[in-house]
Amino acid sequence: MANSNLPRRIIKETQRLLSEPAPGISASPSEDNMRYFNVMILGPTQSPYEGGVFKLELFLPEEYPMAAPKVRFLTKIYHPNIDKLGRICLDILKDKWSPALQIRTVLLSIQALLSAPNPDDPLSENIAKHWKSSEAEAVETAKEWTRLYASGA
Amino acid sequence: MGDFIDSDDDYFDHDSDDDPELPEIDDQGPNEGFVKVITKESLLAAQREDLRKVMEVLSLKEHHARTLLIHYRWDVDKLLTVLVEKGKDDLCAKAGVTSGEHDNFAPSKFSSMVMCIVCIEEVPANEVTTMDCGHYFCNSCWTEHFIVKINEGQSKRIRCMEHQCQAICDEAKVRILVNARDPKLAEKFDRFLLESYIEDNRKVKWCPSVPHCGNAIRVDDVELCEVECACGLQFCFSCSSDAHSPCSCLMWELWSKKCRDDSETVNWITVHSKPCPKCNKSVEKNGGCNLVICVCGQAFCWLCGGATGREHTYAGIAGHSCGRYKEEKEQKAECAKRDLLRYIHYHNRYKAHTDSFELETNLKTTIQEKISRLEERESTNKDFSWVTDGLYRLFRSRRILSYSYPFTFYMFGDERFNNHMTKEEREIKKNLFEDQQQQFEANVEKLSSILEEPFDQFSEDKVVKLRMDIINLSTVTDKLCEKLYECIENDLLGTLQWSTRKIAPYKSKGVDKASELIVCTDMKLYHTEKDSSKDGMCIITHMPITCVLTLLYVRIYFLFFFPNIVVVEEKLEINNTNKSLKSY
Repeated sequence: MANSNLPRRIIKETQRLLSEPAPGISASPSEDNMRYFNVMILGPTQSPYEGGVFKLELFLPEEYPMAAPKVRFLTKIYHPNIDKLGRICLDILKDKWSPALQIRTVLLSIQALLSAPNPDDPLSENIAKHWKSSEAEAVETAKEWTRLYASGA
Repeated sequence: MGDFIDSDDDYFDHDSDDDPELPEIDDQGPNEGFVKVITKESLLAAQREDLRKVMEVLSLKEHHARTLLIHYRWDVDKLLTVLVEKGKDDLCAKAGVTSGEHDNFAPSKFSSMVMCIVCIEEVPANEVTTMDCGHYFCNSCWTEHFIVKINEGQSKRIRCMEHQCQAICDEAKVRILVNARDPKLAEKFDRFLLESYIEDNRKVKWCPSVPHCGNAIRVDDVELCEVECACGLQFCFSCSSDAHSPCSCLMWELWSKKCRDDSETVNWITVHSKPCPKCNKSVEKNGGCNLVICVCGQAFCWLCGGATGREHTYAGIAGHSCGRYKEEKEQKAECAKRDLLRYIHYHNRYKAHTDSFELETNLKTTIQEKISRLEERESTNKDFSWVTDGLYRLFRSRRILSYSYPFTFYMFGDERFNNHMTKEEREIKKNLFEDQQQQFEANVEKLSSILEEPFDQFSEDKVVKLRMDIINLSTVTDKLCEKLYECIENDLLGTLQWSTRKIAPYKSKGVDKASELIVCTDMKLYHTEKDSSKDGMCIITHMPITCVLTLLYVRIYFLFFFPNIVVVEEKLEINNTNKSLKSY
């Protein structure tokens, strides 16, 4: 079984995520695979994603924590650093990963990315262009998508 | 910088005292000594030479010096320039070198148990390792981290585990920890570090010989040249393919590709024949109308290649119409034919000279025999260097002559090499060039023929005359070759952009031969340094390599792994993983 020799660090992190969750974030491991997490992030206030509930999946690879967790948005989202498959452009998930980071810090960083989109380092070229040419309009679209796809329920 | 040149001179003196070898070596060009061969054995020594310079100037520990050098691609001059312009702190910070003044953070000073924030466990303080940046984690986590990084191909730059810490981990600590878990991987780590001197170094390249001779070549201060490895292979230092001057690297790449896949023939076939729609054989039309019948019996339309019935009139094929532009086709066919003829012309000449070159290599043994027979004879003249000199002149000239044909092929027939020349200009320059090429060629042939004469059976007088002839012809050939290069470099390539223009310059004495790399055997140097040095660490690092080996187990390690060095394929794999890693 995949869960039989789970590193103690993962068990500890999981316990802490469940007992003292970070505000606006919930993460719970899947029952049949303790390395797979179902994640929900609430859209930060004063961002175009406010009021939205975004589902993500998070997977801890074999090498974790020496390798970064793999995270992906499941809910459709209009954001210059997230592509249509939900992949996220965030440095700590790639070359800036450090074993000293945790699931909690990763999810907090993603939450922060929702508050502060960075169209200069885009994953989704079109959305980034939109963002740069007319930010107000792009923000409207983001709000619209949040209503359409992330309205809880 | 002056220091380095001086020390290089030191090596020269040392060098020339010891080997009064072949006559060729006496009159080597100004680049003598700039081309060095680095063997498995001298790789460590070569690396240490650069390490030592940096350690001395910056008073750093070895692993810091290595990290700096890897960051600056083993370019000591560049590193020193940055040092002067930006200062030591900036230089070190950029490369991820920290000074190690964080001893107060050392966990053992607090308590017996410490928290490792990677595994989130309490661990005994003696099972924790602190890096130079001051960050500490438990040995088990460090080891995991190192193993993952080494397997990712990042041995040369393993960063500290702390978030946003840029420090590069101390290689000695990496080695000790990894070795405890996986000695094989520790070997790999050492090899990567060692080979960094070759792979990350602008001045060093692997010899491209197949099977690989195990050597690498270092060229100092020369932009573009051709070199000869100790294994005898002559290659272009810029593109690592066979020596090809006066062709530029681009010309040579195009030419070898053309020769390899015979693309002209393929081109001709595609234009002059069509695959039968049924059996796929190439069918050439030798006359008649456009209804073609293949040997297999299938009829098809020559214009479009589609299968048809066999009924036809003068105007067309029954039930078939494809209305193509015939003229365009014909023009294309003509072009293909002309290009093919040009290619065949130049290729024949290129091939003829390459073949002659191979045949003439055999001359070396026969001439040696003739010389020994002459030497046995009672004679006043015992010096036969004129024969071997003439022979080497022939080899060199023949090579250049054969490469001058692909050069002509591209120079006067390819858009890429045709900047700013009008048709008339090109015609004039082509005539001039071919004139010189012919003169050169005629003399090479003459030299070849008189070198084959049975001079061991000649009378004394006749030998003297032959000697004069060979010496004269050699000088003339040399001069003509030089002029040919002048014409190429000034009149022809001079107008092209730099990337396609660069060729290795003509060397009357032939391609630069790599000489043995002499490092640290210079006892004089060692003694003076040892005497002037106060610091214990320095003494060790300045010692000749043999002494160091007996002293430091780390170094023994290195030597121990030499036999395992490089398999070219493996290297490539590693490069590939590196690439895929970078391109997220």
